[in-house]
Amino acid sequence: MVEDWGTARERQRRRRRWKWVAAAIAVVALAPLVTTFVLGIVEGYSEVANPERAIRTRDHAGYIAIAIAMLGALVFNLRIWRNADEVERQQLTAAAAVTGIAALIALPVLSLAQKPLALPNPAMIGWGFAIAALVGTRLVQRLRG
Amino acid sequence: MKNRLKILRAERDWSQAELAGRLDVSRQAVNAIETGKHDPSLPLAFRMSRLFGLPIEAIFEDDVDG
Repeated sequence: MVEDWGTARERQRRRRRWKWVAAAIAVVALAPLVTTFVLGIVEGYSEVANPERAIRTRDHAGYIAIAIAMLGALVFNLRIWRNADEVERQQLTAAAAVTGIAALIALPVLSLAQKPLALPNPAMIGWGFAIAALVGTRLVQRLRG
Repeated sequence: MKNRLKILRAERDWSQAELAGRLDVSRQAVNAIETGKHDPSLPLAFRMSRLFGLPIEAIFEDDVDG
């Protein structure tokens, strides 16, 4: 069966979108592994070259990896935004709003509850809530679409 | 806002994906507009108008009476 040009164009559009989504997920997932690996090599070489002036990265590797992952997520999400149509942009805006509201409520509540509940890291738990809100909203949007 | 998008699409025997491709939007966008979940922007309404060869008011109808 010969596919109509409009259907083929829509399929290409969908494929392009998924390519950027996959790239964003890959960058976020691989950033900690690649960053710590590269920093480990840098640290090892610098230690062999001059043990007294060796570059010490292990205390900061996590922060550097998170920064790279967030930067990658931002860049790829900008690409996704540019490829999106008006309905998709409306959905992305709504999802971002829900994420922001979840963080807005969760962070102060968890900070207040830190002592009575002996929470280890309220900021990270709040961030987790916000991410869960984002994923949940996107899932609902996909199921309703 | 009511619209005749589904009827116009059926008259041409187009799927939602086919119409989406011709309008350069996602299939979800066509579905959202057809079901009244989303009112299209003016540029998209004009694209629909050009595609179907009809004025915008022949595709969309205001819900407000009078």
